[in-house]
Amino acid sequence: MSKLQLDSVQKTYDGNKILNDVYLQCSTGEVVGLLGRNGSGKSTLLKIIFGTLDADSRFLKIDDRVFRESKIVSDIKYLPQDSFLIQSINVKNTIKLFLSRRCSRIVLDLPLIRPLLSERVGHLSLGQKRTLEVLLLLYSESRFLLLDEPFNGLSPTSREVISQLIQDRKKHKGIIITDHDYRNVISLSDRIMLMDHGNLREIHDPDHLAHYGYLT
Amino acid sequence: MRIFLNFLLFQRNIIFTALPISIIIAALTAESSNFGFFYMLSSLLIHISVYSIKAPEELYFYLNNGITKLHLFLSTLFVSIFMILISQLLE
Repeated sequence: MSKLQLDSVQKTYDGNKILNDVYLQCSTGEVVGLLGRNGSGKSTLLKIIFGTLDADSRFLKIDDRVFRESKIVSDIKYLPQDSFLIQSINVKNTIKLFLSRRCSRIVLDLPLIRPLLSERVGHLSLGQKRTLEVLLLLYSESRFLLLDEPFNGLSPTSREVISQLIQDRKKHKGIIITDHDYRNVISLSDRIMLMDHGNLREIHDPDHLAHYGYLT
Repeated sequence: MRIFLNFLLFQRNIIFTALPISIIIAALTAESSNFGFFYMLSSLLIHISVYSIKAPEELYFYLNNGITKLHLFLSTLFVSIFMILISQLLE
């Protein structure tokens, strides 16, 4: 089992402290749900972990390896809020360019993907694109995934497909997930964390979300 | 090989746009020897406009493959220098 540990994360924007000494850990085999109001710093935190956003301070450790500077770590993959797929190429080439030969063979053979292989990514529906993105990350060799609003704008059917994919593959990965639809996050997660005024609190009982003002 | 193909994919859109633009500018200004310089200017502009303004999320495709923004910028610069060398050779 591998463990990602993030500690002492501080981030200030225009004098406002967005993240205040945040600590978060995630092990392979678990899904950590990250909840919080709009602008609470969830996406900022994920970008800091991924290494595309500098923090005022950050300590990232994966097993025994420490990453002091903000840089992209090959063991972490990030799903941004909007589609990151290259629209002009087809699904088959997308898979081959994104995944190693061994991993791409598995994904190319999935019944969910096989009918779409010759389709241009730009011609896929929002749900199909999101499903493909989640599959690419879930079948990658990286042990930790950061999923920023994977269900955003999706139909209930697509949400169900993606939830099932995450459930099926989570034993191989450590996943940190955030979404506006807190019910999806709660149902998928083994642990729930709430971003509240720059601090990250562990929520042991979803009913406590109201106590911190996340739910009414 | 996969990473190299990722660079090619990234450069494809830039080359397909910057190449005709720089050929047209070089032809219009009757400065064919400056074709490489025009290519460099237009490719850097396209690099910035496409991947910083038009489709910034596509950058995550490359970032997730371990290719950083600096790597991508250097690849654009590398192709530009190659074009300058070609234009010098053709002079």
